[in-house]
Amino acid sequence: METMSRDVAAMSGYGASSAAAGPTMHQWSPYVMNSGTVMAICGKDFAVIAGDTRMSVGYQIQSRNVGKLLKVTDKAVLGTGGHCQADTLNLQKLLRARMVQYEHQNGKTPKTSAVAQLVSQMLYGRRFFPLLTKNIVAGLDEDGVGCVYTFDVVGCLERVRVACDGSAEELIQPVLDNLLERQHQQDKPKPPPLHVDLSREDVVNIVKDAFTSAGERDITTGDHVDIWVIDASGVHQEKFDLKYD
Amino acid sequence: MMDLAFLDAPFTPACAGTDEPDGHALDALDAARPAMLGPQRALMPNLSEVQEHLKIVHGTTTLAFKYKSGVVVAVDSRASAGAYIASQNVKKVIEINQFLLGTMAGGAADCQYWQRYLGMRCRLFELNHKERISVAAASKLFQNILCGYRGYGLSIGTMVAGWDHKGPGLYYLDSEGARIEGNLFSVGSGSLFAYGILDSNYKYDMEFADAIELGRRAIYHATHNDAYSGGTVRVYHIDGKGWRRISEDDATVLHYQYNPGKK
Amino acid sequence: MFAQPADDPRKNTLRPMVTGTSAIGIKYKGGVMVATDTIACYGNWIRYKDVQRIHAVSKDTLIAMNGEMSDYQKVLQILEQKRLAEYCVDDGSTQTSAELHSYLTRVMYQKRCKFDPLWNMLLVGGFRNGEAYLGYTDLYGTHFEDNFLATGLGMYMALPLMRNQWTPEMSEADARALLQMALKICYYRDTRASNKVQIARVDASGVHIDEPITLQGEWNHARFVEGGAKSGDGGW
Repeated sequence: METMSRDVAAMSGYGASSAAAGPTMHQWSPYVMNSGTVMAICGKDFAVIAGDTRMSVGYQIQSRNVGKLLKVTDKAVLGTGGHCQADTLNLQKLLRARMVQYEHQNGKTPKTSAVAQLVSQMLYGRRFFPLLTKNIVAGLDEDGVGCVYTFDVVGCLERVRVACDGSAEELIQPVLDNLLERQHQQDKPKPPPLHVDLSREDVVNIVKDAFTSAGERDITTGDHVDIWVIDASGVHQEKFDLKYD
Repeated sequence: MMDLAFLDAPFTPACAGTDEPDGHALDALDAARPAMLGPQRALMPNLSEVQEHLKIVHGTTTLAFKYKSGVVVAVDSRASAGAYIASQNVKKVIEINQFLLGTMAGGAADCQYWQRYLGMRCRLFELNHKERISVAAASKLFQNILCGYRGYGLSIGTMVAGWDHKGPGLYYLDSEGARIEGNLFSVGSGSLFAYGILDSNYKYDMEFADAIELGRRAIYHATHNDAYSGGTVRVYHIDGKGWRRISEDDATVLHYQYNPGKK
Repeated sequence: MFAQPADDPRKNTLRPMVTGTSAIGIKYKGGVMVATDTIACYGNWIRYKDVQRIHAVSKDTLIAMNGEMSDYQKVLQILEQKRLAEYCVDDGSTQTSAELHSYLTRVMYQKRCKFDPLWNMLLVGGFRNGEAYLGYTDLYGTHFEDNFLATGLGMYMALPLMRNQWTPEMSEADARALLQMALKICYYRDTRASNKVQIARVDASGVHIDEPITLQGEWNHARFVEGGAKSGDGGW
C-alpha cells in the first residue's frame, strides 16, 4: 500500500517540478511535538483517566504544569497526549463550543458515545492536515458502565477497556495488557466484555504505578499526573507527583 | 457580536452534493482549513511526523466470497503502526446497514469514516426511494466518493458485500478509484496466504457450514503466516435475511484447534 | 505585496531574518515583570542597536517578543486594531490579559495553519484586580501560563535560574534583581544578546516600560580570565 508521504509527494506535482527547477523552497514544519502521556481504564461503574502535566519541546521543559485533560461533560473527559499543544488547544476549544451548542439545541448533554463520535469526526475533518493529537475519551456510557474510547490522529475510533496514548504508550500499554486484558494467558480469567474487573482503588494504583514507571524512562513524561475519576456523582480530580528531572 | 456561524456548518464532506472535495465544511472555519489547494499544496509538510501516528490497518487480511446461498465475509483484527501493534481488536467488518457490510484495509480512519458516511447515504436512499439500496448502487456511491478524493492520499482497500433483489452482491473498491464485481476477493498484506487456501477449496456450490469454515480457515492461515495479521478471526454471513455474525475466535485458539498435535 | 511571476508558487517567510533574542518574564507580589534586550540581529550582524521589544497593548497588558521583528510589528498592528475596535464600542469594558493572550494565540494558530507563521515567541503579561497574568504563545499557537517564563535561549539559561529562585512572595525589587541576573547570564552566553536591556512591569497602577539600562558585565571571573588556555580547547 502506498505510504501517505509518497501520496502527498505525488499529488503536489506543482511543488515537485518547481522545486527541481526554481528557487529553493524552505520546508517549514507546522508541527512541534510537546509530547506527554495519557491513559484511561474503565471499571464497572467508573472510569479513570490520567495525563502528566509536563510540556516539553525537544529536550527543553517549557512548563511543568500544563494539563492534558478536559472535562467535556459530567460523564466524559477528553485526554490528549503525544501532542502538538497548539492542535490540542484547537480541538479542545472547538469541542467545548460544540458541547454548548449541542446543549442549547437538544436541551440535554450528549452521551459519552456521542462525544467520542464527535471527536472522531472533528479529527477526520482535518484528514489532510491532521491535528497532531492522540486522544482518549473516558467516561460513563448510557448504562452507567465505564467506557474508554481511543482515536488515532485522524479519528479512527475504538471502544476499549484500557488505553494509553502518547510518548510512553509503548512502555505502559503492554503492562496494561498483561495485568488487565490477559488475552493470551490461558490460566487467567478473562475480563468482562466492556470493562476491567478491578476496584476503583486498584485501578488508580495501577495508573500511579504506570506513570511512575513511564517517568523513569520517558523524558517527556514527568512532573505531575492529573488523575480524574469519573463516576455517577461526577468527575473527581486528584494530583499525583512524579519526578522533576 | 461574535460570529459563530461556523459552528452551524456540520462536517459535510464534500461529496454530499457533488462529490467534490473542495467543499470541505471546514472551509467555513478558516483557522482549520487544510492549506493544500492551489500553489499552497507545494507547502504541504512532509507528513512523516504524522505518519507514524496514523493507525494504518496496513497489515491486514480480509476476504469475502459469494457462494450459492449467500456471502461469507471474514477478517482478522490487528492494526499496526510500524512494528508496533496499535490494536489487537479492530472491527474490520463495518456494518453499513442490516444488509450491507464493508471491510477495512488501508487507513483505519479512512475506512471507518467513509463507510459510516456511506451508511448515512444508503439510509437517505432508502427514505427517498422506499426501497433498500442495491449492493451495486451502494458500491457505486462509495466509488464516486473515492474518485472525488483521488490523489488526496486516502488509503482504502475494501469489499462491499450485501444482499439485494439480485441475490448476493460483492464488489472490491480501492482509493485509486477501482470498483470490481466478483465472486471472491481477498485484500491486505495477508491476502496471498488467504488466496492460497481459498483458491484450492472454493466451490460456488458448497454448503453453508463448509463456506463458513473456508473463510475462517483462510484467515487463520493468514494470521499464522503474516506478522501484520492476527488477533481475532471474525466471520460474517449474509443472506436474504441480512447479515449475521457467525463467530469470533482468537487466532491462537484456532491454531491449536487446527493443529491438535502441536504444542 | 511583492510582484511574483504568475507561474511561481507563492512563498511564505518560513524562517526568521531580523531577530530579537530571549524574552523573560516573572510574576511577583503585586505585579508582573518582563524583560528583553534592545537589539535586533540580521544573522550575526547586530543590525538594529536600539529597538523596543516590549510594548503595551492595553492599559494593563504588555507583550514581549522573541523572533522575527517584522512579524512582531504585524502582531502589534493586529492588537492595535483590536484595541481600536474596543475603543469604538466605548462600553467601558476592556479585554483582560487572558483574553488578549487567547486572541493572540488564535491568530498565531491560524497563520500556522496557512503555512505562513508569525515567527515569534511572545510573552503576555498583565495585572488586573490584584491578579497577575503571565502567558506564552508562539508561531505554532502553543498557549500556556506560568509563574515565570522565558523564550529562545533564555529557556535554557534563564528558566533554570528562575525555577531556583522564584517565590510567589517576591517583591518588585527582588523580581527586578532576578531578571537582571538572568539577563546578564543570557548576555554572557548568547551571541545574539546585548547588555542594553529594558525592563517593564504591570502593577495596580498600569503598565510601566522603563528606559533601557546597561548591565555591567563582570568579565574578570577567574574562569573567564583563564579562558581556553587552561583546558586547551579554546572554550571557557
